[in-house]
Amino acid sequence: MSITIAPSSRPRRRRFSAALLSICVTALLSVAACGGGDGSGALVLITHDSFSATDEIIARFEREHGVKVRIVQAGDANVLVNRAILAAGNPEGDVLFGIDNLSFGRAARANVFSTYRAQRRGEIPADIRKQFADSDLVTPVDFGYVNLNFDKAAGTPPATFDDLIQVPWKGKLVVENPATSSPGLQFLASTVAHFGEGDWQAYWRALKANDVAVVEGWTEAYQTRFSLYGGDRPLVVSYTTSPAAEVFFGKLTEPPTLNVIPNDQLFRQVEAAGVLRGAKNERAARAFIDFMLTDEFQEQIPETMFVYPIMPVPTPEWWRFAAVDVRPAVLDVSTVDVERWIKEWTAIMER
Amino acid sequence: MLWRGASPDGVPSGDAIVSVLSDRFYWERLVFTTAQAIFSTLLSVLVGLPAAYLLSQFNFPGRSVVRAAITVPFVLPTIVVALAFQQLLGPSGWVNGVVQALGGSPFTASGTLWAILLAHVFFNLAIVVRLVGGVWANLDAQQEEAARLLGADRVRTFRYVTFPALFPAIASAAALVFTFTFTSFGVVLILGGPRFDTLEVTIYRLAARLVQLPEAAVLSAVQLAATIVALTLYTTLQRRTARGGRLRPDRARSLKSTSWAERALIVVVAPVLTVLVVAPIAALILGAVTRDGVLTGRYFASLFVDTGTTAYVPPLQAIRWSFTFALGATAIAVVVGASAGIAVARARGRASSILDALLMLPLAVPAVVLGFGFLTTFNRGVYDLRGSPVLVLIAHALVAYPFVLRAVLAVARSMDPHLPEAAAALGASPSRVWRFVELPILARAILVGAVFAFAVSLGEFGATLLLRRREFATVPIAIFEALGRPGPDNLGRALALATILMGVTVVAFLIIERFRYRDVGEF
Repeated sequence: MSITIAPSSRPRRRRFSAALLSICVTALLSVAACGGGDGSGALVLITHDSFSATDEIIARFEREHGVKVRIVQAGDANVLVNRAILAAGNPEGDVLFGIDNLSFGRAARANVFSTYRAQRRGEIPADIRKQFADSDLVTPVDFGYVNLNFDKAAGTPPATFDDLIQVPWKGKLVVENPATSSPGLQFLASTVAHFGEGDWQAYWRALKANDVAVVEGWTEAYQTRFSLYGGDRPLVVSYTTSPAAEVFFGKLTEPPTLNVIPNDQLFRQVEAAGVLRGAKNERAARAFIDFMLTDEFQEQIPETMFVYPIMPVPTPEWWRFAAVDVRPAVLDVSTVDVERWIKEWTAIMER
Repeated sequence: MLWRGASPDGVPSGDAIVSVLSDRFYWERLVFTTAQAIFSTLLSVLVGLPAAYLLSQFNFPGRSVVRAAITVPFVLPTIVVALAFQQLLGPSGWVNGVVQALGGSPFTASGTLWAILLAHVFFNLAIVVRLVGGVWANLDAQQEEAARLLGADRVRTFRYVTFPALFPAIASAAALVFTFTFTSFGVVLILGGPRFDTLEVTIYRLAARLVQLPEAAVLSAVQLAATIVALTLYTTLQRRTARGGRLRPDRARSLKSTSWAERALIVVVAPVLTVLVVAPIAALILGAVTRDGVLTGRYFASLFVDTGTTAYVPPLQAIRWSFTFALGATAIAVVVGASAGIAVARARGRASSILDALLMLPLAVPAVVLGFGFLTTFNRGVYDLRGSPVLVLIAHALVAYPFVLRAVLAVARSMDPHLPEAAAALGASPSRVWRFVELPILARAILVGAVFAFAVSLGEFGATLLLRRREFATVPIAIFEALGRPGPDNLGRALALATILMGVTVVAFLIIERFRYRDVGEF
């Protein structure tokens, strides 16, 4: 076969190719110029995807301590801890925020943190400190609850856990997989706390028989399966603060959803921060932990992360929709065996 | 990562291998994975063949746009696909709206096997259409005309002349689609449910809980082996398609010269194509510009409003970084892919196929594992690239170069070997032969592959998610951030960003259409 190349198009094509090539090389160089890794003098904060803070408060820290803050969002709470464990001793950053009371044991055993006693530590309630075995490896910063959100447009909500396994609620609930989702895991923990170690399995079997939908993570559950956003399920595992968040984001006067389970049956997740063992900038890491306990930082937590600040600070007006009665379900954290829970749950739900 | 899994306590152990291989649960997963891949492949070929026929045989206005539109799903991030299907098929979606207006009862499509299969076809149609269509467009019409002259009717001609000639292309397209659906992750993860887990999703779940890393490693090895087999099949078949000298210029004819049978085909295929490809995309775009049924530009406008928090990604910055990574990754992909393509073309026989398959492996590795692998590899001393955009660049280049490789390989194999020989016989040195004979021929293929690589990098999500920093977040990351918070505005913003991503991708593909080397080439 003969291949002819039109002579007139050759110079044009050559110019175009040359231009394209130079653009590509420029792009390549500009990326490389951004450097390999974080510069000296920076504080690298490793946290999960749900982390958020006002630019203002971060800028304040940078001013007061003379360091640039770089934020690494390492995945959800579970991936965050896994990454830290994989990198123990040679961490990706200096301070880690987002370790919770369920995964603390695992991280402590993997020797991920180095100790630091925060200045305001004495002001943190004892029962919260106990969630981390009162250890100095981490410092609690905020806490939250996972609950079932109900779409008000769907009528009358269920009232208890037991309602969910009854016939009228068949096919109405969507939950997240605890193996891959932090709220999913917390909901599982709530059922363990409520029903006890021996009986929660039966509850989940009943849920499965009642056509519960299981999805990967909060985004899929809330944004694609929840009926508020065009999904097919009026009940979703989300946060007690989600109704308030709807008010905040949608600029509403009333939340379109409500929380279902009474608070004393819910598991409380406490989030903490810790200095990573082997951190390059330990001084700044410690300063940041203290900074997270200041009133200014605590005050902006509700509007950025939608969890409850640990220190008594004033909260925004719309936060009243997130009010909870502070009597969480009791679960002895030292006996928690998350791995076994997940294995058993998987065996029940996926086979 | 495999090593860590194989030796959980620092000591290699065969326990995991035994426990996994003897567990019925995992065998069931393997069976399901294979079954859904086969069905997806069959469906894709079934829908893809008529589409390939239409697009390769007929020249009609808007043909390039249709071809570009078919290819868009291939590069969309999976969360965007899930959103699109949700907008279309969800309980408050458009389809349900129509059904209910007509008096029917609402239905739900998510969590079903059909949702997975449909999404797979949505994604992979492009492969069948372009691979088969590319060959069909250049098939030697003389053989078919000869058959007709000798008295064969259209059906016999197709059965005994056209189809055998096309078969290697169809088979190689099928093998490629099989590979992609076998290792399908995002689609299964989001649109399926725990009952429909594929092997890849199971690996992901096991790896998410570090304690089960050994099992994950074993399953990964199994999947890798299966994928290599499938890929080798593909590359062997592909080798047989490109026979030098058989290809002729584009033979598309105008729509006016159609027979009634062909018109019937168009009437049937066009709506199916529309539904499968256009509808989800249209639903997505509509979702980005409407609120409660009213047209609005608020979502696009709000993209530019700085929320004052660390989670905010300015869209222009995201677009700039997406482009930067795409251009840089393309540059690397061109160099690596072109060299690899030429190397494979020059290799002989079996070695060529195996080398080809191995070079295509990045396509079969889950992006998340890739990301994790990078983090645990580039983490010491001067090689500590964690936190550097260079790592993202490498990840993008890795998933992009196979496309350059395929484009270059197709042309390199169908290049008339007499040309360089003639040049050498006339006294040209090897470098002159390369510069003035081979390179100009390959240049267009490189461009075709490069633009495809560009588009793939634009849509890359899995590995980028793991390696990202706010300073260099890309558009898929921005979409992900927008989806992480409640509120209809956030969802609308995500849809708006997804629309922008699709628009840029379509433009990129339209550029391919202008520079395709007489429709020779796989993509």
